[in-house]
Amino acid sequence: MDRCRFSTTPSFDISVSRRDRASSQTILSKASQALSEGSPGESVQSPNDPGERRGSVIDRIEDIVESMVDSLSENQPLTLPLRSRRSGNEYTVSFPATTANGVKKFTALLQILFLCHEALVSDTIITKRNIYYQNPELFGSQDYVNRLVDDVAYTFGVGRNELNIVAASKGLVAGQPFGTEHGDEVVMIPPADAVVDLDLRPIEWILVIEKEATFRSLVSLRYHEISVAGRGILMTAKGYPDLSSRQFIHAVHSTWPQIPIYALMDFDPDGVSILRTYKRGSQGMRHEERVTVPGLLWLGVKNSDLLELQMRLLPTTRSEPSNGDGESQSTLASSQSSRAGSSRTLARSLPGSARRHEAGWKILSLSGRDRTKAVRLLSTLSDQHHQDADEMELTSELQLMLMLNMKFEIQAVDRAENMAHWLDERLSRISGWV
Amino acid sequence: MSKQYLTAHTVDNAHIANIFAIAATKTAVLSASGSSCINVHATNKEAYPLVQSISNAHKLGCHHLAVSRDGKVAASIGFAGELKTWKVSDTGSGDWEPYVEVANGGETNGEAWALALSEDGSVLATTTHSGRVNIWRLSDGSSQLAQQFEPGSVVTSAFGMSIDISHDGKYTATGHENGAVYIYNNETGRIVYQLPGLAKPVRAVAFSPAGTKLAAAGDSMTIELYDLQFGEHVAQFTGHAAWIMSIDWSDTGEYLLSGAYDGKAKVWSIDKQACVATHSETEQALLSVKWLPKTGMNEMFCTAGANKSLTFYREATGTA
Repeated sequence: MDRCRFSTTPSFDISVSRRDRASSQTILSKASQALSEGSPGESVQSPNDPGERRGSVIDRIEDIVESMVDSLSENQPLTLPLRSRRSGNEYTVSFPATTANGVKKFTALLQILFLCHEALVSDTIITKRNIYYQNPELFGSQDYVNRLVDDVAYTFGVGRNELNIVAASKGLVAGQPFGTEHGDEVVMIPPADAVVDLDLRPIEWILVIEKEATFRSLVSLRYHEISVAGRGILMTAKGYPDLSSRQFIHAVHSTWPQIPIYALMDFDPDGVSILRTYKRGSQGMRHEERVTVPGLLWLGVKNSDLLELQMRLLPTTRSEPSNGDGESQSTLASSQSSRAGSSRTLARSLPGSARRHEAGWKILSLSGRDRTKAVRLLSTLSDQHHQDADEMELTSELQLMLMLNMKFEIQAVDRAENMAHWLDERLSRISGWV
Repeated sequence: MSKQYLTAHTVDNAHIANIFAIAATKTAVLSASGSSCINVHATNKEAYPLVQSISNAHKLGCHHLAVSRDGKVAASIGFAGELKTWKVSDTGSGDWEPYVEVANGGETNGEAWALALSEDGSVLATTTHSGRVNIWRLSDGSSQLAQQFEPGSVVTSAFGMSIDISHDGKYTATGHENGAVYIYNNETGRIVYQLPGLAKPVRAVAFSPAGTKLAAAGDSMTIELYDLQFGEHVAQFTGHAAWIMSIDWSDTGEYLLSGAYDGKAKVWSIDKQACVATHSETEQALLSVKWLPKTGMNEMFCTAGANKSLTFYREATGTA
């Protein structure tokens, strides 16, 4: 009878046994590696809990799994400890169970423990929403997941954040397929599984933005609607991307591979590192699948933009219209299709002043931390046995950054028009209209 | 009145990465780039062939490189902060080989950034991120940190972006990120002049061959000329439209060569206080420009940078 019930979740049946077998060897070695190396560092966001406590949660999950492996080999029932939040007493959830609910609870709990362990070992964040979407049929409801997650945290005597589980993705997205019926422009990045239901046919580009402030100013300008490159999607994961944001972009890219995805990052070591996290994954996440977008195109800001900016900031009264602004503006206008009418007006309304980009960019000297970080990134890149063109570009940009001792930040702009204009130029150049 | 220079030859893709520094001897141009090797191209042979490639010189790439005026000693600094010295082999092969180790590690010396060598290669001066100057004495078998100069209080010190040693070895000049230019007496370690700065990063400083003038240039896009007898500002060369990354005096001290981030190289006459030639072989950044020591009738110079190539120019016979 129990077996019969269990077969309603056949996919999980397989994963339980595989994961269990894998657990004693690989998971342990991963964990010890993660512990001995400490935090893998810059490319991940982890809560500020001490590594010790994280390690102890990892240990406890592994103890549980190990004891289950033992039980399996001894033909004993499998048990998971759980502490009731109401009574504070610990009880066990076991398999086989006498009721369907018992089986479900055991299976759900085991899956949560597994995901939590993964997140801790790789030092990444997962969302409760993400857990639910791993197996909606099993969990049945988001609420069920939320309760179990809180039970697990209580059982281990830690806060939920210390399981590296958060309430929702920190990423934001805006664009035509995502508006809500309440008219909200900006929504939370949906789970990767929801991508199949999205109709992205009218979408011609996607822009992944490092900073939320930049994202918000572009949204308020409705850049996703008025861009010369056509309709687009704007998104940000607010700095270093969380797992679900990356899974989402990966899913979009594999479902709609013809839509180019661009990245708009600061020209500083963090910007380069974040770009690399999107493209290649983070150090501690090498085993993760379906989270990277190697085809992500680096739109800017790059060292070559520095030169352009510099030309525009020239204090002299430049009379030659063929240099700098004049040229780019005229080519832009001639390349515009009718749908870009609004942005042409926008471009026109901007004074051709050399100083106009100043509001949007900020040039700063590298700090000691920046330089250290850049050198560390260079070192990581040089350890690749064979650098591809992408990695050579990253190396080159980092070296020039160090050489110039400059970084170039995209500001929280009041005058987002500048940014929009710059993006128009870049996107039309890339799409071969110029 | 202008001077004419013709492109004598271009070594395309002399490196697989941006060329950050070049240095010239009477017979060769050494080049360092974002790749790990230092390359040596012969300038006394047709087509400027690659005659040596020092592999794994700097694992993360090399940003500064200098050679002594006598062409016997070279020094280079890599992106990981490591400082290396090189010398021409005693075997007569003309090849470069590792010279003495320079213990550059540790907090006390700071991370080396720019460097300069004295005429005979016995003195090596480096700047640090903190703006300090380290003076090393190099001899066969050993190196010794001889002196450390501080521009002033820790608060006012700024990244030392450029450095030069006067030909007579008596003075060291440094250019800083905050625009400051200092000239030190190498004997006493005292600051001789604190020159009116450029207010913006000074990416190149160079003593005139006779040691009577100092030129400084950088993000102000101007070259400032100082007389060293009284430390006076005597001239300003304007005309570049981008950051000036590199400057070099011709052997005679008559001309200054400059290279800017927009790919333009200019030759300036000191007498006329004017630009006499502009070359824009590339739109990519020039990061290093050098005159070749005069060996024949015509003056020659070499430029390199983000286009990864070495471009050699020769003075056209007769002036236009």
